[in-house]
Amino acid sequence: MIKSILFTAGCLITLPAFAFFYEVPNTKARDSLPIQEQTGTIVGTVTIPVLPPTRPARSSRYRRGTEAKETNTGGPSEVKSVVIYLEGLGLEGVRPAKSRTPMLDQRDAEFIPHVLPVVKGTSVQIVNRDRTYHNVFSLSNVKKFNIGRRPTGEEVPVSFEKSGVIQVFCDIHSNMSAFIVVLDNPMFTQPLENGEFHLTNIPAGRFTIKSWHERLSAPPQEVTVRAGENTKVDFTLR
Amino acid sequence: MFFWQALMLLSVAANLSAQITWTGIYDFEIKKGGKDSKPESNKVTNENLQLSVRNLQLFLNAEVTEDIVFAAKISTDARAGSDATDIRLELANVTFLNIFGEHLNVSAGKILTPFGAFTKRQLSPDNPLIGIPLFFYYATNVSPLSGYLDSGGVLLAQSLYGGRLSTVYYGGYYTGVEVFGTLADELFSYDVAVMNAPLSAPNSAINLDKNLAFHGRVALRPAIWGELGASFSTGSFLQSGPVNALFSSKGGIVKFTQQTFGLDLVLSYLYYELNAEYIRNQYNAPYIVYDFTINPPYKSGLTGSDQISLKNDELLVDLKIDFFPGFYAAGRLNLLTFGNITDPATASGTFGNQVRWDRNVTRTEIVVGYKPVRNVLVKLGYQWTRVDVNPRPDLNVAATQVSVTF
Repeated sequence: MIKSILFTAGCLITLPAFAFFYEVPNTKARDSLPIQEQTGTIVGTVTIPVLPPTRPARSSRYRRGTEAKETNTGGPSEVKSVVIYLEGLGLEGVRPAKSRTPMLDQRDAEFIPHVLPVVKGTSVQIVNRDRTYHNVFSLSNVKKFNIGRRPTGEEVPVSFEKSGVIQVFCDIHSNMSAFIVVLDNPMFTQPLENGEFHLTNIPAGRFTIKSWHERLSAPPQEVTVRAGENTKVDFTLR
Repeated sequence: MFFWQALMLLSVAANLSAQITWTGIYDFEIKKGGKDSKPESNKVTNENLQLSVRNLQLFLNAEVTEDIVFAAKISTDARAGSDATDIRLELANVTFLNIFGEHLNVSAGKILTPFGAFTKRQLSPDNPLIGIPLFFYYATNVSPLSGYLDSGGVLLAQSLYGGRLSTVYYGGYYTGVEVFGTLADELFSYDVAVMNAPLSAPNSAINLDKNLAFHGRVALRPAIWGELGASFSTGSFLQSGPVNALFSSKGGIVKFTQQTFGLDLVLSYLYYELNAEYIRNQYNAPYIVYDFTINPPYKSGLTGSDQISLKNDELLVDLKIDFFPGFYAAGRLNLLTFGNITDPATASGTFGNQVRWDRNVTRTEIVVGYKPVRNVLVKLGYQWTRVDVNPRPDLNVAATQVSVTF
């Protein structure tokens, strides 16, 4: 009996080594290229309906959660969770401009930002800013990972090599969720609070422009970008 | 005066309106137990393969105002391994938050006992194992009507002496008023409650001779990776009935108390979570024997004092380890040990036989869990139970559980 317990305990303790199998090695952000000379800009506005808030009550203390936040308020702040991105030939070789490493924070039992668009190959730093544990994981087919329980301030890099939408959760706080939208090229942006967006440094050509939101959608549009010109595209998500 | 003001406040809150949120948990189980399986021993009815809806639990939450919230839980469960048929209101409380910042909050109504740590993680998505610990349901030789049951009493217990008690009533739901909060930047937390019953008495046992029980826990969290808690509960556990009417002229039944002390520890880091809990439980119980020569036919079987001290210790250690994303393995060791008493059935003066007042139980359980998606958890487990009696009963259980949260 004791031997079987010890054997089982030994097996259990060594199991987490396998958790790292799914961890893709950290990759450095790609170097930036000079802005292409023959580029244009897409400008536009995103409009979304005012959504009813999905606000779980705060009395979740019996379900091991924490105080819930409003996750989707609708209206002005919600439009910032939309991602506008381009697809088409000629964008594969466009490299991202050098920028700060994307961060996914856990603060006040909430992921910040709620939607994080990145280009594939990017390493996202996941960091806990709270005094309590969070356990960030994804069961998405695009990227499965589990960074375990990390203490306050510890940054954990997770790289995303395949494009797609990855929903991220906390195993300890059931109210917490976020989306990492991994795109094939760096031609993406998120609207400002007033719904306006700008996509700059786009090589001239004909592309498909798309929008993404966790609950709403709008049909993609064909767009022709001409060098030195602004092209206007508006989206109304429903 | 304060009591009545508080009561009025609670009544007013109940009449306010709020947007409500429903969430739920659904558990389906397939179990195969050993040939000596019994609900009060391993929650399996017999040795046949059993398919059951173990639990369907609906949680209703409503924010009456930003700092006043209402919560309720409606549950159906299959305690005896059969299909769920029983619908019960297990929680229904109003909570006043931030009365004095995070330092003071108050809940009233049907609430979860603050005692111990496991009650807060008993729901299937939070409990890494399939079963709940022994102290929640393992029936010991104590009756809620007659106190200590010797071997003869055990045989009569179900029909005559009101069944047998577990240390903590299944689920840990009671009715009362609870005050809780955190201090010093969450370094300390406290949670104390006045309830209608002590730990072992069911919530429905409202006939406790107008006596109230106290449940409480204080905890220290010196670092993000660990918490140490200490709990205490006391109250009279006996319920009025013809069997114990003989005590009505001797100060009533409130003197028969259950006193429980507990320590709990949580350590966690990266992919590991260790939970440990120790409970020292004590009943000051009567011992009532049947005597057909008197009317009513019950008398105390003790000489000298009319109560006997029944002590037992319980230990729970469980370890959960995540490995591949979505997968975990968990193990639990659960011990239930009982102290010696002078056997009142054979006692002669102070020189009776020393006997254990119940049989020690050791339970080991392992589980592999898998989450294919966020809200679905599949567990596959096996449970070994050893009871210190000859011949040893076969109470081992193989089980699969599918748990869905929505």
